[in-house]
Order: sequence, then structure tokens, then C-alpha cells
Amino acid sequence: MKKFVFILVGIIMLLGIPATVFLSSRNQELRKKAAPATTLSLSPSVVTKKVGEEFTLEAMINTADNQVVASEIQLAFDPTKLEAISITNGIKFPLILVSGTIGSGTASISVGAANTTTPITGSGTAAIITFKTLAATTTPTSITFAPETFVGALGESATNVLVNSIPAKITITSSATAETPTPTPTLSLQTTGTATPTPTLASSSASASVSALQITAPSSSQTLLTDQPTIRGKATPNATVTITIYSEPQTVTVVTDANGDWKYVVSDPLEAGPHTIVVAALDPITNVTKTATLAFVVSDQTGNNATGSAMPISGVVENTLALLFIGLFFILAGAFIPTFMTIRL
Amino acid sequence: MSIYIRRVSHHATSVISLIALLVFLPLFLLAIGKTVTLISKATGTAANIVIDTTSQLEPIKTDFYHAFAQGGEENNDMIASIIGDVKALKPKYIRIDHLYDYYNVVGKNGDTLTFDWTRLDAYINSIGSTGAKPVLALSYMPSVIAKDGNIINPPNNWDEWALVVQKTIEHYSGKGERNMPGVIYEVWNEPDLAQFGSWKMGGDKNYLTLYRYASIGANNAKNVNPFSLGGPSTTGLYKSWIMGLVNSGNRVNFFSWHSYLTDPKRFATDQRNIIDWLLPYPTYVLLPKFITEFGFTGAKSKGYGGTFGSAHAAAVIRQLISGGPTYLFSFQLKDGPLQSDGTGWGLITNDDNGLKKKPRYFLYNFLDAMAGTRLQLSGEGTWVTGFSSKKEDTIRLLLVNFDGNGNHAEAVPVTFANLDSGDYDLKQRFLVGRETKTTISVTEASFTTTISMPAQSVLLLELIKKN
Repeated sequence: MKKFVFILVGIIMLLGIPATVFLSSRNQELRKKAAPATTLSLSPSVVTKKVGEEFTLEAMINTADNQVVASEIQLAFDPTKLEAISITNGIKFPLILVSGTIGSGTASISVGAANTTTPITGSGTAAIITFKTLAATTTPTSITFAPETFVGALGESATNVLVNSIPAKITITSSATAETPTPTPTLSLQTTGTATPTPTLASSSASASVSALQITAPSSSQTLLTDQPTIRGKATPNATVTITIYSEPQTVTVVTDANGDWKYVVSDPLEAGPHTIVVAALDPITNVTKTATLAFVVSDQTGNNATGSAMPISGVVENTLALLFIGLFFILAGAFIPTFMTIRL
Repeated sequence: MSIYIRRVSHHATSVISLIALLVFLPLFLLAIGKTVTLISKATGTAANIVIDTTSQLEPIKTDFYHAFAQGGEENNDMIASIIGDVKALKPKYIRIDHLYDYYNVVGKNGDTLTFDWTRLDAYINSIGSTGAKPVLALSYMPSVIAKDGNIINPPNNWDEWALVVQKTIEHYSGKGERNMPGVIYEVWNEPDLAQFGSWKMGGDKNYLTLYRYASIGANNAKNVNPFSLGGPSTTGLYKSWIMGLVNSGNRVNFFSWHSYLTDPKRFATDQRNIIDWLLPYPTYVLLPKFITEFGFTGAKSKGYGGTFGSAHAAAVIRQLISGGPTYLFSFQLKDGPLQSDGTGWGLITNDDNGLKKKPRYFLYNFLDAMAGTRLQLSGEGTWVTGFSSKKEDTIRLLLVNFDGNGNHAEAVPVTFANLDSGDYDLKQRFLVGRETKTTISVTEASFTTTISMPAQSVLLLELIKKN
């Protein structure tokens, strides 16, 4: 009889541990789905300039599932290397709630949707910032979103729905040094997810045609069921296209074919969640580097390659390991304690 | 000759020292204070304006400052005699208060409230004749329902206040009555001021109660056009009042406050503050913000009669040209009576003083020339500020020299960078001042000139490319 009880306890434990792990992961899954996931990124993310030159960055927003109404964008940078010249709203945010403010090593602006009945969704330009380089760098200097940066969305109460921000890396060469021949994005030209891809508020140098460099797949804000997607696009024939994928930066270069088509199959599986692609290519006609940006989401339901992305993003591996060890302890206890007790008896 | 030295006791010396200290210490401190004030007035940064003519920012709004308030210095239709002059200001909104204590609107027949809109309608008709929509500050408490008959008291029965508001909205916004779309109803006027009741955010005279019953009345209004209800219309921007409204759960369509501040930069600070407070409240952060009265002082001042007032208004509008309020209401359209000394707040003098236009009157249309796309401008100073725009082939610069403490004049270097080569007409036009025109030739992509800005002056500079 006692042996039967011990076996029953063992079976319950064996069933209970996987059930606990499953319910725990479901809980983490629910938390992840509830978690807001808007991202901000600076585009282009890599810039090389000489001392004394000006360049423009776009603060790009990908709202994911959120209905964004307002954002306070605060940028931080090394004031010995860079000076902010101006900051204004991007085409995605029609209202300037607080005028742009420039400081030493800071630039900020608060922008908003036209009203709460037309909140902002999808991807596009939130703000446009012009910088001037002041001194050469030995290693690239960063322009980052300050921790005070805030994105508010309907239905999220006072929660800052911004969960991820991607900085820009700026390399400044001395004015005597020749500029490197590598593609040097000078200005983002494409506002993703909008019907009118040429931003009307961009500086005058943004006159290049978007059709010269495009990302045709995935589509803007698309949720992908694979963590190794194929990225396709168009550029001028036989051009070198530099592709950078964020959040964990992966940079590769590909060459377009005679039709101007290019593609890249992501080799390192991407984590589930929002990502941004930045592509850059030198236009051989105008000798101007053009960039295009696109945001997409990798689903946590990816069927292939269940290695890294099988773990819920907002969960932590430690919890699961702890549960496994506890489960193992009970299994061993269930196996050895009855034997030990039988011997004693 | 002999010298007689008298020994004085230590006690006497101490007393004399103490008296000397008491007399001279305040004078010493006063002198230090005056010196610091003078130094602080005199120190500042001179402007060195640089405009990048190729760096375009956002479109400039020129509507938001075409809003005006008229105080209740006379209990009659103060606009009737200046309709033409006000119409020329192209007003979008005109705000009035004293609805219920000046125009005999609310009466009582037994326990039933009665409403006579005749006199108030005449005033609203005058506002309509100027092309503006009315902003009606729901004030003050009708004496027939007010405690002790005092118009700054709460009502004896809050339901009667709700009914007064409901009937007001139904009369002006009602499709079966005046049928006016887009009327703005502001709950009370300067409720925090003793003169208007010293309402608080709690206690016996709780503004939130006053607002709540106004909101109930608004919600009860039937068959009406879209309208807006908001407040708190305080004498300044106060966080506790704004957040009190946010957290009250009542209908709020806009936030309003008054700003009588000499420093134009404080207006921009207020904008930053209210957005900071509201950012965590997504359903409120985008609501319209109205500064329903503004000026450099709430007291009567001769500054309103001259260029001090116009320069201040221009400097404030420069601060709010990007990220400003939905509407900025200049106070006020017309002086009250018996103000021939020039201290009235009006843009136009009273009928008893010839209905003369003051410099500030001419500012609003003058500024409209700046419509276009804002250009990147740097190098503003302590006193001289400005903004620039581009529209078609014309580049414009507005410069304001406003010195709130004195008579600072400045020679301002102005550079237009990244210009196309060629000939340009350069026009300079001072508000209520001289106008000049010259032709310049640009060969090296930039043009620099020095502008002499007298104290309290506003200048429009135009650079027009010649074909």
C-alpha cells in the first residue's frame, strides 16, 4: 500500500513539474503580449563625416501594437565631438507640443499626434535632428536616446511604452583626412509605412529618389514567422548595399544584380520582437549615399530554429532552470525516498 | 589750542554702534540690492543672428495669436463701436466674461429659473460680426441663485448652476436656437483671484464642484452643435489646478490659464511644464491649450499704450511660434472708460478717448507676413530674439528687441547663409515705423548686414530674389 502511495506521489510530481513549467511559460507569454513594445531608432545609424560638416538624423518610431499619442524625445551625445543645430518634428507626428531645445550634449522635443482619435501607428519619422561635427574621433561616438525619452499610448495609462531604442554611431575624421570610400549614409530618405515616402520637412539635401534604394521585403511593420527572414530590395545595378539589422547589430554587404535586385537571408537567427533594417548604398550617378529604413517584428511563434527564440522574451532563463532543478529534485526524491524508507521499514 | 579728549564708556560706545548698525545696515543692503539689479539688467548676451536659408523646419502657424479677450470694464457690448477695427484683426475667437452679472440673463419666477438672452445676444452678435467665434467664460454666479446673492459665491443649489450652464449651451450651440458651431465654454474666470471668489481645489468653495456641475449641465444639453468645455482659467498655470481637472473625471475639452509675465521666455517654460505634466495622461496630453488672457502685467500700465506692449507681445509670440498653445488671447480689445492716461490694457482706446489704435493693434497682421516654413535660426540674444521663414522665393526674418527692464538698444549682425547667388531686394519694415528698400548682390552664398534695433522695436526683414 505504501509503495502504491509513493508511486502515486511520484506520478503526480512527474506530471506536475511539466505542468508548472508550461503554466509558468504561459504566464510569461501573457506578460510579453501585454508588454508595450514601441521602439525608437536613429537613422542612418552609421555616419562618417569630416570635422565641421553637418548631417541630419531621423528619429524613427515603430509603434508595434501601440496607439501612440505623444513622445518626448531626448537625445544625448558628446558635446566635445558634436553640436546639435536644430530639432523639429517628423512627418509621423504633425504636432509640436514643446518646441525643440538644444543644449550642450542634448537635444529634445515633444511631439504629438493630431488628436487622440487619430493616434500614431506603424513606422515613420518622429523627429529630424541636424548636427555639426566638432572634433575628430578615435572610436565612433554615439548619439543615444536619453533615459527620459517617453512615448505615451492610448490604453497604456502612464506607462512609457518605449522598450527599445537604437543609437547612431558617428565617426568624425579630421578635415585633412580623406573620407572613407565605404558607404556613408548622410540622410535617411524613406519614411517607412507612409504613402508619401519623401518627407516634406527633411532638409533640402533629401532630394534623391526613394526608388533608387528600396526594401521590398519584408513589408513595414510585418510580423514574421521566421527568425531567419529573407530581406529583399532594389538599388542601382551592380551597387554594393550595406545592410544592418538591429537590435543586435548584424552588418553585411551584398551586391545588386544587373536588374538592381538584392537579397540577403539572415544567417544568425533573430530574437523574437521588433527589429529595424537599415540599408545604405552609394548612388553612382549622384555620388550620394542613400539609405532606407524598415521596421519589422519577429514572432515568438517561429516554427523553424527553435533554439534561441523559443524562450519568451520577457521571461528569463533562470526561472525555467530553477523550475527544472526543482523538478529534478522531486523526481530524484520520488525515486530514492521510497526505497530508503522501504529499507528502513 | 588744546585738545580735550573725553573718555566715553564702553556701554555708550556699544549703544552708538548698535544705532549706527540699525540705521546703516538696511541702507547698505538696499544699495547692494540696487547694484545687483542694475548689473543684472545691464548684463546679457548680444544677438548674432545666423539663418541657414536651406534648412527648413516646420510650417509656421499664424492663426494662434489671432485671438482676443475683452474684459468687463463696462457692462455693455464693448465691441459694438469697434466692429470694423476688430474685423481687420482677423480674429478667430473673442472671449468675454461677466455673462451672468452684466446682461440680466438669469431671473427667477418662484422656484423656476427664467432666461432672457436679449442683451447678451447683442454682444454675441457683435462678436460674430467681426468674423470671430465666441469664447464664453461661464461667469459669474447669477445673483438669483448665488448664496447671499453674491456673484462670487457658490449657488444655494448646485443643480441650478448646472441648469444655467445647460441653458447657455443650448441657447448658443443649440441647433434649434443660435445654432453656432465650435463655441468654447470656459468655466469661470480667474477663480483663484479674490476678486472672483478665491475658489480653491477643495473646501467650501471648491472649483472642482463648480466645474463638475458645469460639466453635468454641458452633458445635459440637448440637440447641440459640437462645443468645447474646459478650464480652469486661473491667473497663471498651476499644476494642482490642471491635474485636479485631469483627475476629476469630468468632461474636459481644453485647458486654459492666464499669463501676465514680463519675461517672454516664461511662456515657453509654461508650455514645457504642462506637456511634462500631461505626458503620462495619453487622453489629455493632446487637448487644446488656451492662454485666454496674456500681457506683461495684470495691472494697468502705460506700457500697454506704447511700443513696450507691442514688443512684449511680439517677443511672446516668437517664444510660442513652435510648440505654442492652440490659441493665445491678447487682453484686451478696448480700454475701459476714463483711461486717457494711457494705462489701459486695450489695443484700442475707449470711446471716451477717441477709439485710437495703439502700437500693439498693428502687430498681429504685421506678423502674418511670416507665414511659410520656419528656417533654422541661431544666435538669439538676451533682448533681441527672432524667427525666420521662407515662402516661395522670399526669405523673411522677424526681429524683436524687448527689454523688460529698461531701454536697451542693439546693433545686431544678421547673416543669411547658403543663399543662391544673384540680386535680391532687401526690405526692412519696422512695426509702426520706417520702411526701407535696397538691392543687394550675393556672390558668395551668404549675406551679412547689421541691423540697428532700437529699444522695444519689432522689425520685419524681407529678402526677395530678383528674376
